Amino acid sequence: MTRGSLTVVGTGISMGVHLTPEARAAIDSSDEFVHLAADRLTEEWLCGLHPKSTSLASAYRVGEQRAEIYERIVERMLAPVRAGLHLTAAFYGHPGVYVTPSHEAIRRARAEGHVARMLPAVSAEDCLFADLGVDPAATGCLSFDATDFLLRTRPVDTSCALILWQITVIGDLTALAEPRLDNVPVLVERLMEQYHGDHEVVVYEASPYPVAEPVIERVLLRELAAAPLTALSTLYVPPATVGASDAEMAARLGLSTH
Amino acid sequence: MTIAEFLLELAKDEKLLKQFRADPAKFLTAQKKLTAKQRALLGAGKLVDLRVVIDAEFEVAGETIAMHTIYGTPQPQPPPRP
Repeated sequence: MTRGSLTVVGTGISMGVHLTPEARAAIDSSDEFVHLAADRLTEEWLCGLHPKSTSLASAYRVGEQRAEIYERIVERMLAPVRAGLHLTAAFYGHPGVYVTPSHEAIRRARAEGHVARMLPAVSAEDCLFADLGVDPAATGCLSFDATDFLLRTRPVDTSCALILWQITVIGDLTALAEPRLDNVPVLVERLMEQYHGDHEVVVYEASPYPVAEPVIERVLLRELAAAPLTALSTLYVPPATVGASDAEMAARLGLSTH
Repeated sequence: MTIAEFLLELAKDEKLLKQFRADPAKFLTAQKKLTAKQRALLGAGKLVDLRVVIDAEFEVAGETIAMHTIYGTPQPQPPPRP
C-alpha cells in the first residue's frame, strides 16, 4: 500500500487573518488541498491558496441527512490519501470543533496505515470569549449543542456561563437552506425552568470578515424567539447566580474563604 | 471593484491588512477603487449588511452554504430519557 498523509487544519473564523502560519505551511506543502467554508467569499479565498484546490461544498444537498453528507466528505478526503498523496483539508473555524468529518477521516486514515494529524485553530467559541469579554475561568462554562441540550436534558448550573450552539437547527438532522426557528420556543421554555424570563442573554455571531463587527444582540430570555436569529447564531447565557464555596473543601485545600 | 474583491485582496496581502488594522478608517478612506457608498458600508462594520452585499455580488445567495449545514450535529440522537 502507498502511504499518503492527511493534515486537517482550520481557517479560523475571520477570513485571511485567523489562518495560522502552521496551517498555511501545511497547505503550501501538500499535494492537494480540499476545503469547506461557510460562505462563498471565504471559499473563493481558499481556492486561491493552492494550485490544486477543491471545495467540498458540492457534497451538500439540501434536505439530505447530514450524516450521509459527512460520509461523502470523509471519502472525498480519503481518496487522494489512499492514492499516496499528501492532502491538507481545511474547515471553517477549528477543524475539531463541531466538525465530524474531520475526526472521522483522521480515524479511518490512521486505521488504514496513513499518517494523519489535526492542527488547532480559532473556533467560534474563542471569538465569543474575546468579543463578549467572557473568561470561562471566572464562573465555569457549560457548552452544548442546542438539540443535545434539550434531548438529553443536560443539567444546568445557573452559576456557570452557558453557551448553546446551533439554536436555529434544533431537532433537525438534515442540511437546511434556511434557519429553522420553530423549535426556539421549546428552548426558551426549557431555559425558563431555571432562569428568570427577564434574564438578559446574548445572541452572538462571530464576524467572518476582518472589516466587520460581530453580531451581539442582548435580549431578554423570554423574548429570544422574537430576536433576529440567523443560521450562525449562538446563544450565550450569562450566570444568573453566584456559586457558593464549600468551606470544608476550602479548608482542606488550604484556601481562605474570606 | 466589488466589496468581495476588496476583501479578497485584503485577506491575501499582509501589508494591506497591517495598514487596515492600524487605522481602519484612514485605510478605507484611501481606497480609491471603492465608491463612497462601499467605503461607508465597510466603515460601518455591520456584519449582516455586509453579508447581504457579498451574497448579492456573488449572485448565489440561494446557494450559499449556511454554517449550520456544515457544522450540524451529525450523530444520530438517542431517544429522550424517560
